[in-house]
Amino acid sequence: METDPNEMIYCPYNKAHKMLRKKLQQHILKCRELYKDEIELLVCPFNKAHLIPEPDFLAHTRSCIDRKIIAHYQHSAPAELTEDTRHEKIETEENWDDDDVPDYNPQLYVATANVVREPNGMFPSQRKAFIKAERKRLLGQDSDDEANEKTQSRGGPGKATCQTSQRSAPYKLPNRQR
Amino acid sequence: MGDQERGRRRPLDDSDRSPRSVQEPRAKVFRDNGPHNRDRSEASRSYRGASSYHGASTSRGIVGSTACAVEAPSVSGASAPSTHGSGPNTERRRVDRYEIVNSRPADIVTKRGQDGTPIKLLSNFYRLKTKPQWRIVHYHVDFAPEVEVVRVRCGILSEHARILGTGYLFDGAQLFTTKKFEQDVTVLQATSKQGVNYTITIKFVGYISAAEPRFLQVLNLILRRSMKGLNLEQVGRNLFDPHARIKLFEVELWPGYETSIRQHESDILVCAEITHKVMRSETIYDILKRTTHSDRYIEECRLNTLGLVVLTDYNNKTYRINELDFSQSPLSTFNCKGKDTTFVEYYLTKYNIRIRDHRQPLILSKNRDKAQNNKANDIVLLIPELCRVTGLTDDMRKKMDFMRALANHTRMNPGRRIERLQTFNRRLQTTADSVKVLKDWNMQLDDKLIEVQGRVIAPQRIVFNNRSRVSAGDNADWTRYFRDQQMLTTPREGLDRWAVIVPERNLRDLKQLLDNLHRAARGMGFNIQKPRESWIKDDCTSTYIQALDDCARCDPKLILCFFARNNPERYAAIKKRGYVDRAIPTQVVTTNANRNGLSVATKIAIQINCKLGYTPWMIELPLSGLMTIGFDIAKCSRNRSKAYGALVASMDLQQNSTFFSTVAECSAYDVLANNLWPMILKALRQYEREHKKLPTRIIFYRDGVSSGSLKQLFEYEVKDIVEKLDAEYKRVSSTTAPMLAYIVVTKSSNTRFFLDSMRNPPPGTVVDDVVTLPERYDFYLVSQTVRQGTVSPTSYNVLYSNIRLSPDQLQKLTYKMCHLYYNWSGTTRVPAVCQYANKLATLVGTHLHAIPQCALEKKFYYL
Repeated sequence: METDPNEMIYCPYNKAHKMLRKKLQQHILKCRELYKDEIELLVCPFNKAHLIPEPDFLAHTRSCIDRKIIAHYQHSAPAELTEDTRHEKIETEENWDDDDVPDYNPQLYVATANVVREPNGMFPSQRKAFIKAERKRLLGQDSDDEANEKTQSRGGPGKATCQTSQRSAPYKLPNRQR
Repeated sequence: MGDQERGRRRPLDDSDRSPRSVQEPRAKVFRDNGPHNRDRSEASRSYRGASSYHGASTSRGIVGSTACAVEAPSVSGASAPSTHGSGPNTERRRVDRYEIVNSRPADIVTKRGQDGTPIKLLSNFYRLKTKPQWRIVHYHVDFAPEVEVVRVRCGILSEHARILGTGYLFDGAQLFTTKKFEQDVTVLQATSKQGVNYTITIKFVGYISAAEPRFLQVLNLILRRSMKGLNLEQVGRNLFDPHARIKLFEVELWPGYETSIRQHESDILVCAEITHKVMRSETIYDILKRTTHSDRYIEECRLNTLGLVVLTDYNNKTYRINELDFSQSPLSTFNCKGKDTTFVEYYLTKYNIRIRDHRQPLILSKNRDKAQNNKANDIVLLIPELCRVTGLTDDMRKKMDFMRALANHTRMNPGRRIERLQTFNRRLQTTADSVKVLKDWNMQLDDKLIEVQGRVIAPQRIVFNNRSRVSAGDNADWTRYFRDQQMLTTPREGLDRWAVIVPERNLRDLKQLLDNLHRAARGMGFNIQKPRESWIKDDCTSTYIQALDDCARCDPKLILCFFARNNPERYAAIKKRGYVDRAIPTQVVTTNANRNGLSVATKIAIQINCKLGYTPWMIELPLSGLMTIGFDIAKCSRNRSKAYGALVASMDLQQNSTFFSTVAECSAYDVLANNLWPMILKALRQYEREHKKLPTRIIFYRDGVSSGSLKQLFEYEVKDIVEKLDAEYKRVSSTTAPMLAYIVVTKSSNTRFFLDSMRNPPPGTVVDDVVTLPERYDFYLVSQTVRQGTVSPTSYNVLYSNIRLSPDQLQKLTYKMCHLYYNWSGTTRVPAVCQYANKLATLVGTHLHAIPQCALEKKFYYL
């Protein structure tokens, strides 16, 4: 059976959210964040896109179409292991087993470097606050953008800072940039 | 027919991937489907995805804020963007910048490695010598009545050029200038050439400072605008030069440029890449005209056009043809803003296009507009005459001389590529129109390609049996060593129980093949004994299958099918029977294999050894308890809504070098993998079963995602894996916590590196500075050798890591992993596990269409 790529489906968190099938994953990421305190859905162990309310969960795990991933694995014979694939240990000059080097975290670096950062995957209010903070960080505190923005009608200063952010503003679709 | 439809859409330079796998039987062994190391100038265009996962709230220490009160140029009064005005400003900011860089603690962890031989490279980037230093004012522009065509919009607005200031930028909706109007909303009147009056509303949106990503967008716009000065034409997203077009048979090749400005490691750089576009002058109307003679006219027309992707010049959009409507013509009417209009009138008024033939049918195309929701099922009607066919047809692809001629132009060696890039730069800096735009915005491009310091990782040593190790050499190719080296592991008793299915009239070919195979294998320490031969009378698919079933009864370790000619359907049927219904590795060989005698036989012997689950060679791995995982997704050729994700994991590579693989069905609409964890879990359980413990370190190489969805990838896949890994390690009460590095592998980046202005960098070249991105832990690695064209480096982005290894070690490990693709005795452009995952997913997606038997999971049956 072939499903139509343009098929519309509903968000598991809010039935008022209707979208194209291919947008579901992106959408779930947003709604999961948005409704994290209100609606709790359980994630199907076979398919992460299946979000199920608790009462239906057991029934779903029994009937999930992706159950075959595990079922197939459990029901068919596993590969036989043969001894002759073993070989002498390949000795090496170096040994990194006990190395313990801190891992690089780019976020720490860009937080202080003089680079333009992208506010990816943020909610609009967070993005605004982020850009403002970036201006401050890169251009110095007294950049007169601040003063100008106060005079504008839209979005007063300090409406939402990143720290308080998660749900401070009603969620809107981000403005399309292009 | 899924294959053919897909074929049309395939980008030109992508020809080394999918089409080959369809012809798998002929593409026997190494030559064709080995490393994808051809030059691919076509590349992914998404460029949005720098990552900032730790959110905005993480430590944003305000450093270097000592510089007080940075003066910005006066706001509302400033009428002319003068360079001088911002002079002192630049100075001040420079100082600022210096302090920031210095204030980083000296012992900070870096992503730059140190090992390897330093090498000086050029890369296809230009520095920006200067960039606009003043603030840019951002407006939104609306027209009433609405205007569809961007060019017309620009024309209308240009009447007010004087008010907007000399160097304003307008992309059809957004307006960027240096001038701030008094009011937030300005209303202007204008009249178009047709005498229509328009009301233009200009709304103030905000200021754009040099500290935000929108500033980079504006820079991109400025560059694009100045490129238009070279008389380039926009097709899709890139600009092409119709004046430099090359005629090739029935198509035209338009050279073009792909540029993007973005923040790189420490500077904002311009990336410039040469691309090509195949343009066909043919319209759908021409195709319809050609089919007129047939008696079954309508069916014939449908057959020839359905599924084609067309480009409409007037709005520069592409559509897929879903249906032809012979009941309508351009004289049919439709409702346009409450008024019935014919298509002829519509195109005349809206686009000023006169439709010549009023008796052609109409094209129906489903709207693929991203504006989703209610529009999704709308049907768009198009006029055949105005629809230009895009892409190459399968017929064209089959024509060798044509494809070769095409490759001649698209595949450029480094010297020629540099020359083209420099010509572009020179033209941009000397053409009056372009210079003016750049000057207006105080933007100046460097005239030299950027220099990058790279490092070359020393050639790796390849481990064969008998403790002999050979260096892979500077070209990373160890094919010749198979003459006197034995494979690392082979079955102890050799290949003793196996069957051959052969058409009777090919018996002589078979004998020759078996002789060669025997000789080649013996040299490599692999004992191939006499097979059980099953002679078949004809070469029907059903006969083969029947013989295969017969052979399967005596539980052979492998079944070899001899084909007189390559035949994809028969190939698929055999593979399906072997892998889905039974669990027997199959090997398909065509008569062509005999032509190259021993060298092909060597490759087949290696392949057979792999299919039995043994290892031809290994590299020296300085880590024990390491598991590398590769994951890739391939679409199903039969059902568009399905795709198959394949995961291949290495088990311990120091003492028992084997690989584990698993496949799962997933939805073709999902970019991110929904069922990754069950698959990883299978690999972990297998590792535990074999080694009685879980791996100490795990490196996950993820292929098949664009850089645009990195953030989602992190949220959706990485977090999940990390969480569940922890739980799994706790479950078995492991003494150590899991150490994981999640690395995104991207083959199609626009970045190129050149050595000595004319050569490709040698395999093992690593670049982890200057052209990398500051928000990522990333590096470029050239692992493959190419003989033609420019090598395209693979980009590795360490999205998550707690693996406690240095960048040097990660880079080296990745390079080592590129040596283990057993279909190719050289390095591949992605780590072997990725290449395997890709191979497996493609095999399942194009031939099997079902999940193979688990009993095969430790064998390279998909090679």
